[in-house]
Amino acid sequence: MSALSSQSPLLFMIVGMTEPLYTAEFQRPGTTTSPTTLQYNHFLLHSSLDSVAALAWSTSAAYLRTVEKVNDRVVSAYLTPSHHKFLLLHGGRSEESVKSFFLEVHELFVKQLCSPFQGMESPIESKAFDDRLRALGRRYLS
Amino acid sequence: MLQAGTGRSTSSHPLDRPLSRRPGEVSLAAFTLLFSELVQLHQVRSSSVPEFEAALCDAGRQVGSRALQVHWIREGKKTRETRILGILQFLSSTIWPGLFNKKADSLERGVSSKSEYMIHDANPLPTVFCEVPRSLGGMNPNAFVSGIIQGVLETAGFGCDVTAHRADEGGSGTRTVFLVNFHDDVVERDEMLEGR
Repeated sequence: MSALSSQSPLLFMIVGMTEPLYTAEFQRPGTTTSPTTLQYNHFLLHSSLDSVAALAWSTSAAYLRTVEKVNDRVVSAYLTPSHHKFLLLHGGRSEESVKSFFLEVHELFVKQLCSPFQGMESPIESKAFDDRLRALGRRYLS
Repeated sequence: MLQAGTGRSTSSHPLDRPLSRRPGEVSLAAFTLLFSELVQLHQVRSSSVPEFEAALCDAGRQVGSRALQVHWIREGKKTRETRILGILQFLSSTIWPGLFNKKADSLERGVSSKSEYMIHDANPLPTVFCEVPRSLGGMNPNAFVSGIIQGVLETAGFGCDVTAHRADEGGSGTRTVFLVNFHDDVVERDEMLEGR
């Protein structure tokens, strides 16, 4: 991993049937990302949704590995049995750490869905969920 | 059955409790009490038998969609089901015991139609104490279990309609057949995948 890629900000998104349900940006403390880069990152993630949709029925795997690659930015994806999509835009983290991150997030996500106040296609607004997800990000992705 | 048993610490946050630890059993009496309140609530709110059954079905769908995911993780599965037979087998041999402590009696494919499948259960657990008064006609409280099945299948990407039918003549027994009718696009997709 080059020094540059480990400093690049990460963007994680959970996407439901029609819209994103949760977004988290991870940045190294002390660095800032310009608004243009942030918008571009979001655009990259959204454009990878087509590739994920194509894989949904052609493979039975949950972890879809790298679905899109632009310059040094990579989009990795994970598809849950409920067809929720986890997308991670990163600058070259190892497959193992990304897969472990997705697996842990999946379990956290299912626990969140068990709450009667959380709809299957509703945005996730729980601070508890956000805190724990960010902790997973720090644990597996930094 | 679903969720927390007795004796577990309530001081930890729900998001921190391990999902994969098998929970203790929930008492049938406690569940049946809750279910009877649910049925009575919808009986009061509904103005017709179809509306009553649809309300119970919707309640069941909420259960089914979550049950799919919880049991997927508990079984430690790493692959998603992409075929009709696969998801039906996961439902009858993993989710059914997870919810009702027994496997579904049998799973059949419809003879007359490619989109029909049937799940048999001699005595579905949620309605084990239900007795439908004659004034409600052909109302079947197993609409709740139909909803659970529908929730599991729809959430997994297999759109369908599920209805519950009494298997015994005269409608007095508890043997129930759940008829699953998959939508056309699901059948087409499954045939296309078979061809690969």
